[in-house]
Amino acid sequence: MKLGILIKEGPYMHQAMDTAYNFILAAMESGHEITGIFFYNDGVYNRCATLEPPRDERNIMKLLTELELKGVRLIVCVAAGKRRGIVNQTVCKVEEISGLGQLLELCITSDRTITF
Amino acid sequence: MLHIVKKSPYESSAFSDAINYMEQNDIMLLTEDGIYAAKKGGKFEGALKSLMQKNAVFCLIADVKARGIQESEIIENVKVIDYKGFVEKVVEHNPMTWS
Amino acid sequence: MSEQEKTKVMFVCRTAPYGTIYEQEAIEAMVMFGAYEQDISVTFTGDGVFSLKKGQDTSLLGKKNFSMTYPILIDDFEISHIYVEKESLEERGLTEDDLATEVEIIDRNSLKQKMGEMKALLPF
Repeated sequence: MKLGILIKEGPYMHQAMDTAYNFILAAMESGHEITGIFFYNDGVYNRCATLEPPRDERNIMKLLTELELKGVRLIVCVAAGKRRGIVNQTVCKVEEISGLGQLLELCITSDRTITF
Repeated sequence: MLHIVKKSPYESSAFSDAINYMEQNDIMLLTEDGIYAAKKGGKFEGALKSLMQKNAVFCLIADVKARGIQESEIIENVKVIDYKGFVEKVVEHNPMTWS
Repeated sequence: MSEQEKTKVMFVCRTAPYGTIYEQEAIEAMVMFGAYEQDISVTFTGDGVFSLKKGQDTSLLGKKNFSMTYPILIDDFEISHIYVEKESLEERGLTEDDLATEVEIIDRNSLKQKMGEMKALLPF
């Protein structure tokens, strides 16, 4: 099944990204396709390139980059990002920045869209 | 539908709002702080039990364990599932998240 | 595009305005989605109904008054429906006359049904 993911909360402050990450790993292991992860609201902070948690703590930004290397598409909302300073210079990868139309595209192309 | 509740019922209306929106065949998944709704002896035990007369309720094992809740402390008939179980529920039902 | 081919997406607005950014960024998404010729609806339930309260004046807050956008969502931004849950209005002491725009006030049971018809539900 094709699953689209919407992340509305930032890293660490809320558990949302952690739950989503574990959900995504389980979904991929079960053979489902993640059509994309769209970061909106404070969710855009999950792709801040300068996140640097203590060494013994999970690095959410890096975990997401690993998912990206496995072929998962990450999309950072340009408007929500700009408002919060997540722009070309501060995002993990410039290509991830895109418009809200991509969220609707996820809704259209995914069998399920799930919000964390 | 799958109603995902991720806020404590003591803190937020997510749990009671989700109940209000449950139809026949809908199911509920308690995650994150939402799992406190499934603890025996709590204020929401009655609401959960009456919901379970018609609808199935699940809770996420990772969140239950992390918060020191033993499975024996979970209200009877609430089914404990892992992330793969969570994925299966999303495959079976269209999700709505209540936070 | 025929009605059948359109994807049904519903924004489910459950948060009050101004205290958080959810309402504002939900509106921004509604406005964008409207341009894509899909079947987009918006539901206000719970504290979300406060977003529609008429007479909002944000001048002392230094924020935009987002309630001004609702009256033009349908005509200018091609949103199919704006629903408000009757029970949530009543619980909060509001009536149709208190709202900043014309909306479809429907009861919870009818809303449940509509939610069940959606391909995607986006909670805000």
